[in-house]
Order: sequence, then structure tokens, then C-alpha cells
Amino acid sequence: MTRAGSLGAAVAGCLVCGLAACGSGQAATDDGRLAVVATSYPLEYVAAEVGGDLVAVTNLTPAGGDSHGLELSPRDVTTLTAADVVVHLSGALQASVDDVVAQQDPEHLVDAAPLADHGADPHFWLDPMRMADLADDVAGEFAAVDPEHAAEYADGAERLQATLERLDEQYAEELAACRGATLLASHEAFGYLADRYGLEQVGVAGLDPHVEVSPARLRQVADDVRKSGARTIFFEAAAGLGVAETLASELDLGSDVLHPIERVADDETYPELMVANLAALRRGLVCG
Amino acid sequence: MPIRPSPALRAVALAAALPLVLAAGCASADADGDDAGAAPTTEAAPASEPAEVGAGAPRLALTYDGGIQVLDATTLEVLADESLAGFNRLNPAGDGRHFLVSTQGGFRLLDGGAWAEPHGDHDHYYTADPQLTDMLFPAEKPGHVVAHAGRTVLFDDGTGDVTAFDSAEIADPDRELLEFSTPEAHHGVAVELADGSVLVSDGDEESRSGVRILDAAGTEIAARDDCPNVHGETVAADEAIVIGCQDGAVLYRGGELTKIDSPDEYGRIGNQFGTADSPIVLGDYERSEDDRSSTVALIDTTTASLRLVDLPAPYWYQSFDRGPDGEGLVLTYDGALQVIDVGSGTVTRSIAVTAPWEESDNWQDPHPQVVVVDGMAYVTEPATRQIHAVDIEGGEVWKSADLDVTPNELAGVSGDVEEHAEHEHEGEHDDEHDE
Repeated sequence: MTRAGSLGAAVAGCLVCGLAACGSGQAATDDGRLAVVATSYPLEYVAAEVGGDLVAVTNLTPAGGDSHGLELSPRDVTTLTAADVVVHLSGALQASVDDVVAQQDPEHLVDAAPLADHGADPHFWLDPMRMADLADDVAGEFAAVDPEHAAEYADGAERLQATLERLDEQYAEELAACRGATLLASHEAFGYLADRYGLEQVGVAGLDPHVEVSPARLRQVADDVRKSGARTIFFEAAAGLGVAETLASELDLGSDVLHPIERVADDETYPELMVANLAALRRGLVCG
Repeated sequence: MPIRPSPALRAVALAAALPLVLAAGCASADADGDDAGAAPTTEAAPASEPAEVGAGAPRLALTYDGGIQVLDATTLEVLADESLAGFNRLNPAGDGRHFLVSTQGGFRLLDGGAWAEPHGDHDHYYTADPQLTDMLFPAEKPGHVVAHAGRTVLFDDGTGDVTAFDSAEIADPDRELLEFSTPEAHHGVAVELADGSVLVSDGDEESRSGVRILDAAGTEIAARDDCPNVHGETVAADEAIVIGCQDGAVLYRGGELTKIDSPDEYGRIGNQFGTADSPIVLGDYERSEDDRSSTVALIDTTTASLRLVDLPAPYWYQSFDRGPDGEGLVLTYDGALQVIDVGSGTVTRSIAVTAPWEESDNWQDPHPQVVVVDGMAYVTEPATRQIHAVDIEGGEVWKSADLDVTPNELAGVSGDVEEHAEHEHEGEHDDEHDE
């Protein structure tokens, strides 16, 4: 059964939201606000929350676009060059952005790479306390450029950290009974989350919820699933084309959606998606 | 005896020379690839922007008279149709993504358009439009392609030249090449093992019966000359290599070359099919030059022994492969895919797949071919212009598709990272009808 239709529709809606969320594409502002460039949504979210009205944040990954393998246009490079502060996660599948950032060598750069220390997995933001750490770094860099408003940036970071701590408490509380449960994911993007809340992430390699599956592959996945003891497979988006139903019936499993929050639709925000993810985990995990 | 010249020296020379050769043909949309006006490029660039997909996307390639088609192995939909004149042969290139087409002028790179990139403890999967690239490994008479342990080895029958490189770098014009030559040109084969040692056949255009082992420095460490009509190769568990002979097989295992005799005086094994997980190798078996054999050979690499298994009907040499669990698979003239338990030597199941067929006198005529990719067995049926996907464990044809061409050669790639190139069975094809 599919329980995640509404969230899936929201994700699909993102395809048409275009650049609306991405600011003007010009970083330099005439109104005295700091021009901030972020290279993916989670970084944009932190910058915007910390800076509030004092900053204009441009996300170089277009809404609905794939942040992996992002290639910058000449205009993006101009935007990046003109930025007062750049917030980037290096070494995370944005090699061409890494190159441009290295070349431009922005004077004020926040690189989130130390927060993403699980091998090549970039999704550190799914652990809210790592996001809280990033808020400090961002506030510090904003203050360095604009010392006059240092207190406001510190306040912004604190407010964001309060939100993140509330999320963390909610997760810890609601998942306390689930410690050790298997988080069966079609794409292993949830390692930071699993680590923080004592879950065991198991990847189901070989399944694409949008693509027909051969009997041989289904059997292979069924073996993996049986070994894991899980009862739900989490996909990144709502399953389509009846594959969810096939899985459910063949494997006696449910399917649900966990959002990797790497890119979001206009009407989606980090805290809302984190809450939706928590609800999905509560529905799908086998908890004590 | 040392080979000439030393691989290490030639590798340097060739690495410098080859990018120019390759660059000349790149970026040209022309099939002939020699458009002098084409701007040289250094990459076999994808024809379309890569798209991330949720899982590995296995691909099939099939030749027909006039071209090559690439199919999605799950939907059996034709994704690309490229013209290429002449009789072309197909092999997986060893990287899970590309094919090598043995064609006029050399081995040409065909991009299957599906691949994986490691991402920490898991992989990301991508697809793009498949395309026949202009990247060519020049060869007078392109022969066997053998991929094993992450290395791809090409054999040029016209010169006896052997070229080896990292399979993962196949599309990189700056890849480092190891190249050496056999003393005489012959229809040969070479396999590189994980430690860099190489098994290579030996002979000339008239006859060939030698198998030599060279260490990573190119020095001969073992040799035999009692394998008449030496042909084909496969790698079984523990990197045991089996090479076919007219009167049996040669086994290379644990540093030793051993001859395994056929029970018949003329008992030819020409094509062998092994997997990294099974110590047993499946081979074809002929009692005479024109035997329409219904007997296959099972070679136990741990005991250097051979036993014969009779099938219900004859087969031909390209209707072989190994199943997802190491089963022997042979499509016989009655249209059934015979599933062989290679341990017990028994046919455990016969799955009806095609209409009855038989081998024609011309080996280049389209015949049914069997290829296993991602756990499914694919069978072409030229007579009906169809391709069938067979679920071995389920014991039935999962789906069939009508083609608009008559399929001849068939090969597959997983669209995934190839951890062990030996899971595939590249390069086992027959030469007995070779011109």
C-alpha cells in the first residue's frame, strides 16, 4: 500500500516551480543586504534563517534541479563572484561547483564539509544537530563581513538552533522505542539520521520505484528484505506505475516516502519535511 | 622466454601515441569516424545529459545486418539504433557500461548508456542515450575481448598484438595501456589475472597449440604446447582459467598449467563458460569437425577432471551461458533452454523458449544466442525476429518483444559497477569457421 500520496504530489509539483525560489540570480544587492550564495537547499535554508531580512540568499541549484553534478552557467559564476558570503558543501558530488569555488576563492566561504564526515554521504542535514553547528559557522561568517549586525546574526542562529533542537527532541522522543530498527531505504541517504537516532539503515539496491522490475531482481530484493526484518521500504518519492503494489504484494511490505530534503518545492521547508519524515518513520519502522 | 618488447616499455610508448589516434575520430557524427574536419575531442561524451535513476539499468546490445540496436533489458524497448556496415561482433567491455564492437578497423566503443557511481556505502545510478562512439582501438583483425578482475584485454588476430587496460578507464583516452605481441599472429586469446600475470595463446596462422603464462613483468613462467586448436577462455572460482583444445582443455590454477584430456581422441572444447563463484566450467564439446553436438563438457577446476553430459537435443556454441546461480544454460535445437546443475551434471529443467531451430552452414548467419544479465537470461530468436527474457528460477519466459530487425550477435551489460569482471563471460566465441 502507498501511504504517501500527498507528499509525492508535492515533490512532483516541484518540477514546475522553476527559479521562483532562487532570488534574482544576482547576488549583489543595492538595498544594503548581504549577498549570500548557497549551493544547495539545506545550506540556503540555514543562511536565510540566520540572516533573516539582513541577507538576500541565492541558491545556485534551481528548485527541482538536481544538486548532484550541478554545472554552473556563466551567470551563476558571476553571481558567485559577486557574493559577500558563499555557503557550500565541498566534495559532495558538485565537482564543477567545487572547481569554481576553488578558482574564485571567495573571501568569505563557509564550507560545510567537516559536518559531512560519513565517507562520501553528503546528507548531513538530516541530522538536525549538524545543521545547528552549521548555523554557528554561518552566523560567524556573516558577522565577519557585516560586524555591525553581529548580534542579529547570532540571534538568528539561536532561533534556528532552537527550532533544530525541538526537532531533535521530537525525533529522539518518538523514535526512542525504535532503537535498533531497520530503516530500509531505496537510496541510502539517511545514514546521518539513522546514526543519531539509533536506527540501522539498510539499502535496497536495485529498485527504482518508477521502473518495472524483473522477477530475478525482485527475488534478490526480497531476500535482502527478509534478512532485514523490516516491514516498509522507504522511497524518496511516491512510488508509481504499480511497483509499490507489486512490492507490497510480493514482499508483503508497505512503502512510504522519506524526503532527502536535498531540493524542495516552493511550498516545502526543512522543518516541515523533517516532521513529515518523522511521521513516516513512525508509521513504517518496527518499534518496540 | 621474454616476450618482445617488454610490456612496461611499450605501455609508455603506446600511452603517448594512442590518444592521437582516438582523438582523430571523436566528435564526428559520421559512422566512418574519419572526418578530417571534425574537431578532436578527448572524451567519448554522452549524447544526452545523464539522468539519475533509482537502480542499475541493465542494457542489451544486438547486431543486425547493417547496424546495432541497444535495448533496455527490463522493458526490452529499443533505445538506440546505430548503423554499422559489415559483420560485427559484440562483447561487454568489462566496466558494466560499454560494449566493444569488433568491426572493420578495430574494436569500437559502444556506450550502453547506463552506469553507476560509488557514493559512500552505496551507488548512484545514471542513464543517458546509448551511442556508438567514434573511439576505436585499432586492430587489423579484431578478435577476442576478455574482461577479468577489472582489466580488459584485446587480441588482434591479424598481428598477434595484445592490448590491456583498466576496464573502468575504457572511455578515457589517457588510459594507460599495456601492449605486447605474441611471436606470431594467430587467432588467439589473452587473459590478465588480478596479480598482473597474463595467460596468452601461442601459434601461427596455420596451427596453434601453445598456452603461455607471463608474469607481470612479461617473463614467461609456465608454458605448454599440447593444446591443439587452442581456443576460448573462461575464468572460474579462485581465478582458475580454462582454455579449450581439440582434445580436451588446459587448466591454469595455483600457478600450474595442467592438461585435461577428452575421453575421445577428437573431443574438441572451443568455448567455455565459467563464473567467479563456481569451480566448475561449462564447455561445448564436439566429436568431429562437423558434429552437431548434443554433448557438453563440465570441467572441475579443483580436480582437473572432465565429464560429459548429454542434452536432449543439439546446440550451437553461442547458445550458452551461466545462470544467476551458476547453472549451466544451453538453448538446444528443440527451442528449450536446458538448465544444468553443474555439480551433479544433470539437466534439472527445460524451459520452452523458442520454436525448434537448427544451425545453418554459415556461422555468420543469425542463430539464437543466450546472454545472462542481472539475473535474467535473454534469448534471441532470429526466425521470428524476437527477443525473450527468461526467468530461470521461475522456469518461464517472463516477456518477449518483437524486433524490427533480425538479431544476430547479442551481449549485455549490467549498468552497475562491475566488482568482478569475471561475472560476465566476455570473449568466448568460436573461430572454427573463421575466414
